[in-house]
Amino acid sequence: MGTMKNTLRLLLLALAIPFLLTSVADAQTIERVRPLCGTEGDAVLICGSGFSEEPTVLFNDIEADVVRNSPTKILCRVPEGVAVGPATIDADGATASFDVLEPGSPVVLHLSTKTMTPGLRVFVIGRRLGNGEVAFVDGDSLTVDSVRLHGRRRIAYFEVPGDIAPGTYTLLITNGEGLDTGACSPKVEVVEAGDPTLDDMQPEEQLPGRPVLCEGTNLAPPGLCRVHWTDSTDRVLTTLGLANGFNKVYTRVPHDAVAGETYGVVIDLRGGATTEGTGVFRYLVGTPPVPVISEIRPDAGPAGSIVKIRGEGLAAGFAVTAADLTRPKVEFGGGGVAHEAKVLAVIPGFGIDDDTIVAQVPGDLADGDYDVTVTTSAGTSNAVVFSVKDLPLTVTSMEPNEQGAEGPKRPVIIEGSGFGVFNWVKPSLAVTWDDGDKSLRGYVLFHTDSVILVIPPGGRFDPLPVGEYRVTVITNPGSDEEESAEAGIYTVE
Amino acid sequence: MSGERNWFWAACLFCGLLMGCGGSASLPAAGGGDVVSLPQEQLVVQVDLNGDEEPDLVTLDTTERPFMIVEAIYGSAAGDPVDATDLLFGTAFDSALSTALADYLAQSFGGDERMEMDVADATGAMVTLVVFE
Repeated sequence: MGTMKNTLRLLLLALAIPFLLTSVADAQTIERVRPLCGTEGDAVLICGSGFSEEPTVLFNDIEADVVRNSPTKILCRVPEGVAVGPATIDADGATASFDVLEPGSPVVLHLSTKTMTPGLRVFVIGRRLGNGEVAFVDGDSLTVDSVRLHGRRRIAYFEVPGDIAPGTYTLLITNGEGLDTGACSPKVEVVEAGDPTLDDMQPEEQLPGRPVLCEGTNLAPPGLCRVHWTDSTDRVLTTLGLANGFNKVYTRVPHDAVAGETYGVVIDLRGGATTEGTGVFRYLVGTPPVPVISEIRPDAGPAGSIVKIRGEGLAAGFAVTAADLTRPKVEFGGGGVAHEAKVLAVIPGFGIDDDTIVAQVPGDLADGDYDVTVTTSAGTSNAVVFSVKDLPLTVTSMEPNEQGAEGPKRPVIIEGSGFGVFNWVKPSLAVTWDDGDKSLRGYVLFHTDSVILVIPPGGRFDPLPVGEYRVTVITNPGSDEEESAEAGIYTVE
Repeated sequence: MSGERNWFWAACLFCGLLMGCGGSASLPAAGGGDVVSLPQEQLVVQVDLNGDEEPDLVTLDTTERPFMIVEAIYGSAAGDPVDATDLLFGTAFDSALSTALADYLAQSFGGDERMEMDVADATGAMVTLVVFE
């Protein structure tokens, strides 16, 4: 009997586990709110998990306008009417603390460094800053020293007092209107200046041309510096770096560094200080993979159109510092001749996703099939076929095909073919919304031969009246070559 | 969700959005992707604006096309920043960089302390942009 009871308990437990797990997985949590304070209308990012598709966000029971959302992030605005002072954010039932500041109060979003030495220049990015004052307040709420804040509303800077004692301080920033950062004043650490050090580099291994973060101390002054990379034969490569003034230098692995080689890294700061005296950091440069193209989209279109090439290792060796040398080369081969395409963008996938190259098909190609290859410092990829030809004007989809009376939530995407090559100077494509009486043009943000991104007429400032509209794509409007294709019916509700 | 993927794909294709577009986790959910009303009407970026290799800080009005410069603080080799706002206020930011940044905003929730991207400017030259907020 006892065995039966135990079996029954186990069975019930087994049945309950999926429900328990589901309820745990579905529970909403807030992990982070950024910034932790603001005034009415300020954008606030809530990070967490388990948020619904249409989340409700309350600030002290007043509903906030949600700008954008995902299961893990909600971007909203501090609602009107919420009282100044501590507030509780409720996002789908998960709660977090927030401080509502007086209208016009400054908010700090970013400090160039939170650890600082006397005399260091520190940059502040925030909201409603302007010329004002920065007070260094100690643990007893006493203002130890104060300095001028120079700058504008979003960008400002100050110098740490030259004679301030080391310690932890709260930075009370007062703007030109006399309002301060209040409960959201950032905490900073003032330390004695010393010799610069380079203690770590992240990631642990990085490909040539890719960003790398050097971490250390006393990496001052802020601004440009040089990073020297010495190989086993004492050959020195140099890259530019950007120091934050104390503990970080942002730089790149030299584009001509040898994959698999370990380099001795030293930071040469402006003014002559160097990390060499406190040690040389050993850094292993990663080995890029040979590129492999998995797809090219679209796989046909006119000369001059834009394509997206996806695959592995396409961004290897990519670097900005010597673009001509290190940007991946995209070639369209045909008839024994290789035509180089203009590379518009390189999007590293960082091992999580495929790398992507956005390229423009050479404008002088004749119609025909071409073998497309990508060449990086690691080699040349497989070839995939792209057909250069004018495609007929067709529309296959339009999304969204409706909007509310308050205007479009996002641009309309029209897919199809034959839209032609985008011309910044002389638009060669129009999209019209026709209600039967009049025809209004949308604002074409951009298009390729196969996709159009367009904002409906009026946008959000003067939205279309409620009704149904016939949407038409017109190429070469007003010319002898004008063609049109209906994209569908667009409803304003 | 397929619509969101199309939006994501199209945005990346159009304008060469670089980092920040890599994982599906960053995709806006239904009702997102609000490029018309950007999350921040102003955006602070770091870029060499005056061609002296020194990184400069610029505030852009993102409701204009291309984005419009509203604040500019030049970095300088001498160390003292130079406020160039009076000189540059109201001038247009590079159109290609503006488009790439608009797409970043359309895809992003903001809130990144520092986001570095490499973008081709209007002349085709690759430029490193650091986006703050």
